[in-house]
Order: sequence, then C-alpha cells, then structure tokens
Amino acid sequence: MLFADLSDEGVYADVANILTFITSYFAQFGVESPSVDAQAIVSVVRSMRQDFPHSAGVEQASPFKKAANFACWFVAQKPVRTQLPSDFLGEELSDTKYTNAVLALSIAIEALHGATLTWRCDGSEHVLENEITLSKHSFVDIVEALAGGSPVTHFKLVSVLLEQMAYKTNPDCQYPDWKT
Amino acid sequence: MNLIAPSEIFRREDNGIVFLKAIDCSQASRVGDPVPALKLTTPVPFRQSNSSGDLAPVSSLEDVCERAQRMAIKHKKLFSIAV
Repeated sequence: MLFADLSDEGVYADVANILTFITSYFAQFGVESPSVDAQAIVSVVRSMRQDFPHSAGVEQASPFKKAANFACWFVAQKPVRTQLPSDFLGEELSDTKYTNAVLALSIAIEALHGATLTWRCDGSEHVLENEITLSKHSFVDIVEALAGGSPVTHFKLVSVLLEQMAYKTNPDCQYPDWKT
Repeated sequence: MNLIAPSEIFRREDNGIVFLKAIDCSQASRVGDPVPALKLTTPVPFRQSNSSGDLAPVSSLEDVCERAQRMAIKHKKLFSIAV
C-alpha cells in the first residue's frame, strides 16, 4: 500500500493509494468529498523516503519502520482538513489533528496486514497474516499520542509500538525471547 | 493552499493513473518547503511490487478502496456510532 517502489512512478502510486484510502474511509461515515491538501500528501510520500532514519536505508528497513515513518510524516503534515464526525471519537478529539492521526494509524495498520518480515538472524521470511487489533481504549490513547508526534521525536517509538502491536496478533513472527 | 477532493485529483484508466490536477512529485521534501507544480500527462502504471522490507502489496485501487472501507467499518463498530 505504501512504498509501492522507490521510483518517481512509485511516488505517484503511493499518492493515489493514500488519496483513495482517505476517500473510501470517509465515505463510510457519510462524507463524500473530504478536503485534502494533495501537495501535503506528496510531501509525506517524498519525506518518508528521503533520508530514511535507518542505518541501512529505506531499502533494508523493516515494514514497521516504513509504516512508522509514514505515520509520523502524515501527522506532521496534517493533509486532511475535514473532520471525522464528532460522534466518532467525541467532541474532545474532533480537531483535524486527531482525524489525521486516525488515518495515519489506520493506513499504517492496513499496510502491515500481510507485510513480510525478514529475520536478520537467518534470513527467513515471516508474513503478518493477522491484522492488528485494538480496543477502543487503546485506539483513543494511540491516536492522542500520535497526533502530537513528529518524525524526529516519535519515529522510533512509533516503530516499536507498531511492532509490538503486530506481534500481539502474530506471535510467531517475533524473534525468540532473549534469555540471559 | 488548494484543497480539493481526492476524486478531483486523479482518475484511473486501463493502463494506469492519470493525475488531473497539477501536483508536484519532483522535489518536495520537507514540511513547509515551497514546491513547483508538475502535471502528469501520461498514465502512471499501477504498481504491485514493493521494495524489500516489505509492506503489504496491493493489486489495484479497488483493493485499496476495499481495505479502507473495511477499516472504517471496523472503527465504526469499535465506537458503536449510529449511522
């Protein structure tokens, strides 16, 4: 869904994917034409690829790091200017910064559903077959935490959070416990 | 700032995606950077592949649409709003 490929054509594909996701997501809430800053979406897609915060670069980064970098840039840019209905998350979370956090988290979770992990220890591949699931309580907490994030300060924590959430529903995909 | 609905930005054709509005995909890099406009006039083929690492691939825009709808429905159920 994201990082379709690393060429310029891949940028366009990512932009189209994200715009399609936003439109379809809003449609389920009865909002047919959400306002989106398309240039901000392009900037998200560009930014999440350039100077990727991983020593081996974006090509060797785990799907958790890719999803996290996307989510952090998305909430930083806040490309969606239409609020989700106030009865969804409540009046307190009706600001568009929370709408952007909801979409960033939703797209990241969806992109991880079916993602492939390559273990560094033996090169074996493991597919995240099961989607990340969250309680309402956790969903709200994560949206609030993500909404105030930035790529510089939150990338690593969001990456670790997504990884641990994915392991909850895909326990066989995590590295064996470290034994002292 | 030009805010428009995503459906006004691109359309899908058999051989790929055609962007209808001038958006820049060339050098935009950081928050707040000024960006020149570049309009795509030829279809971009829809990609299925991913770079190594790999997030879940998609097969089509319809696939993305279906995933987003499923996610939104799940969230509506999570919060039990009346629709």
